[in-house]
Amino acid sequence: MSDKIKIQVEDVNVFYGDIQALFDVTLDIKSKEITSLIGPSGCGKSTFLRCMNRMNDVIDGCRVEGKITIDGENIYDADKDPVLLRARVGMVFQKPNPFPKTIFENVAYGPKIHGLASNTSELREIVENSLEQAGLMDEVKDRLNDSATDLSGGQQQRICIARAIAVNPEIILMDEPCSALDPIATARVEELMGNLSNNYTIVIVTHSMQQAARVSTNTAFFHLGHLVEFNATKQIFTNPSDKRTEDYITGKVG
Amino acid sequence: MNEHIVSSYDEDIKDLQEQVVAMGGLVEKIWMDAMDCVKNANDKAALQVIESDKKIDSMELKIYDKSMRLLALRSPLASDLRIVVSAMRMASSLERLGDHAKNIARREKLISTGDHPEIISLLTRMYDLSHSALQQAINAYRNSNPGSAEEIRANDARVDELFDSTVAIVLNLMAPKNPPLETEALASLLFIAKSLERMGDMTTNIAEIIIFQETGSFPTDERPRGKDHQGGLMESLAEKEKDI
Repeated sequence: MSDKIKIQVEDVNVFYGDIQALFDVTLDIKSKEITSLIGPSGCGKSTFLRCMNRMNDVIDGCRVEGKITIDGENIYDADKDPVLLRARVGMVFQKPNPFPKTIFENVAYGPKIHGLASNTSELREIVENSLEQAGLMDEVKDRLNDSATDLSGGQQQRICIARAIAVNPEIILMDEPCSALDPIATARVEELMGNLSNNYTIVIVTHSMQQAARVSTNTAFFHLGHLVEFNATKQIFTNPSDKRTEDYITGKVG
Repeated sequence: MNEHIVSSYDEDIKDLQEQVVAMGGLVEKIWMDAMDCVKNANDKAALQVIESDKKIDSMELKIYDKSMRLLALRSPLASDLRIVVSAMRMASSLERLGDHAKNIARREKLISTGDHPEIISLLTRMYDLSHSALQQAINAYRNSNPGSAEEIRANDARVDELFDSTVAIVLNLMAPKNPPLETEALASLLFIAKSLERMGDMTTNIAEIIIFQETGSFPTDERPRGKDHQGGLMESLAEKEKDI
């Protein structure tokens, strides 16, 4: 845990064509901590997550205004290469999406295209180290050449986390990474997130209040495109200051 | 307060709070009966107190049970979480209030042998203040009124002052039979003994909580008690003095 700010977001507005999805979002995400983004479907939390590695660039008609800096550099500056940015800011999706290749090739793919290994033994070391960090090495060490799609859902999701780690990112974005997993696989991923937060800044979108409460240090609540409340997780879940937050996390309607 | 989307959750929360209010109502009643014992040496009221205390104990367990179910099945958060945790703490405090009322009723026969209207009048004033504070607290709980609860906190100092006055008068009455310092020392010993007796009771509470934590249920049999305890502390102390 540190007080260093990793991602600084200032007055961010996002539009899909004529429709505004985010309104004047400003917040600071601390380095090597887990930050949860919560809110009802359509509130803008996934849109916001995707702003942080410019995934929205690929959507036609999407326009991002405002400033997002990582370690002080504006990621939307004209000279910034989104492909390099996405190596620094990895992403794990809701549904595990391993490539239809071997376990080894899944994890080796990123380091290969970014030229992170100069020979096969270096590549092997990166793959093994990433699988180790993803807590998967013991389970797959004898079957690295098996297809990744033959693994269980939980294992596939941890392959995707290993794949994100393999390109040596600073930030890992997770978009509902456990919603397709059973409680045991979920617990493994949550335990893994806790370990990874020693080395990486993690931002997670989740619909599970309990998951946000279990894993994150800070929580942001979004509603209708606005950041309503951003505070310590323990404060949000025991005594939120905004009524909209209270109603959402307790499951109430106005 | 807005309603939960799952309406049975609202019913659960409402039911829990109603149980606490009902328990509070019975504690108000048990204290009325206990004070009736003090003022009027009312044997019937004393029996009533003993019966009510048993009911209060079982209400506490029901509130714990309901709270546990809410925690396990609803995973309450924010105000809901505070409601469940508060219900458990309220139940525990109300149960202790019931115990104190019972202890007063048990002394009914002992105090009836003395004639101390001045002291009874001070005790009555303490009771009036505390009892209306208790009623106000239960109402503040029922109506979710923190302002009213703040008033109760501010008013407790008056009861403390009346307690000090009562102690001073009791000491004066005891003084002619003993040197002043000796009287104060004896009275202090009595308070210490009372605190130690409460320590015993509360440690037993802790023991029962541990049993619950490990086994899932509270012991249902009567607690073992001291041979002379039923007759009250004064009596047992008096007997011990005779022995000396």
